[in-house]
Amino acid sequence: METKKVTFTVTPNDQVKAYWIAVGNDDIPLVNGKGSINLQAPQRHFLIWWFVGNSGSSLNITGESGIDTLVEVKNSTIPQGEHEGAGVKRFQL
Amino acid sequence: MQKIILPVIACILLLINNGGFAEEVGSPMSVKATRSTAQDNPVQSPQVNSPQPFAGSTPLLYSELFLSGIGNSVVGTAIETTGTAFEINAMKDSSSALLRIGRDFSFSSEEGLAEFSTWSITAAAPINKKDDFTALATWDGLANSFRLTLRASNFVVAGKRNPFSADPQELPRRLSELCALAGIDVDKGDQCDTGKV
Repeated sequence: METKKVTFTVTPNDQVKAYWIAVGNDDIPLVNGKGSINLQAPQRHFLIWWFVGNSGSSLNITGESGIDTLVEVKNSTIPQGEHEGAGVKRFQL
Repeated sequence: MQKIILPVIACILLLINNGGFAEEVGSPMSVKATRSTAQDNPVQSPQVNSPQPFAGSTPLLYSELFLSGIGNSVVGTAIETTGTAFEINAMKDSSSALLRIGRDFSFSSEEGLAEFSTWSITAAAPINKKDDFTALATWDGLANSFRLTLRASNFVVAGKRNPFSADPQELPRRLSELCALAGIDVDKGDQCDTGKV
């Protein structure tokens, strides 16, 4: 098995106050919404995200390896009446 | 050269910011970078110190899988900027030139404890409407009515739960069932989140 560097970019909207992401149980530190991790390939992985903000807040996430987009999270939203959101998405590397 | 004009400062900050993302807008006096998101409304935090942060009608079980009480522990001031990387805003029709640089950091320091911190520095000075450039500073000192604002915040939450902590390669059964009930097949690569479950 080889490893590939995957770079994640989180794009929150104005109402998101804080956010965190992980792949499997590995937390990914982010600076200005960007962070990288080395992942084993070929293998499937799970992207997990958490965020805090006002109801209706949303964010997008992309995970890229080189020029390939491996995973995209589109418009993940905090439900009405809530202040926290989370989600999961599988991707193949 | 007596005056430090905005384009020069813009170039310097772009270098400092290391990968900043500037975008030209409008007239020569107008340079604005994206991803600057000043918050007018501080986060509503009724969940702070709330014994039941997920007592609403929304996906209680799903939230429990990921979040065992985010918001129970919030330290620091309300976050007023997120995602701020770099901004210069100086339009002729506005009254002041604004220059901002900042960073945000997201990390988990230990199991269940997550931090999100931001800082930003903002400099502002009145626009010189008689000339095509505005000086924030000269070798003789800062411009009249110059304002410098430093802002930092630290947002700490306890209770962030990773449902993959047992096996990072396998979708936990309970999570899989909840997503399936919502008609989402995570194994096919569909997105499953609190907004959909």
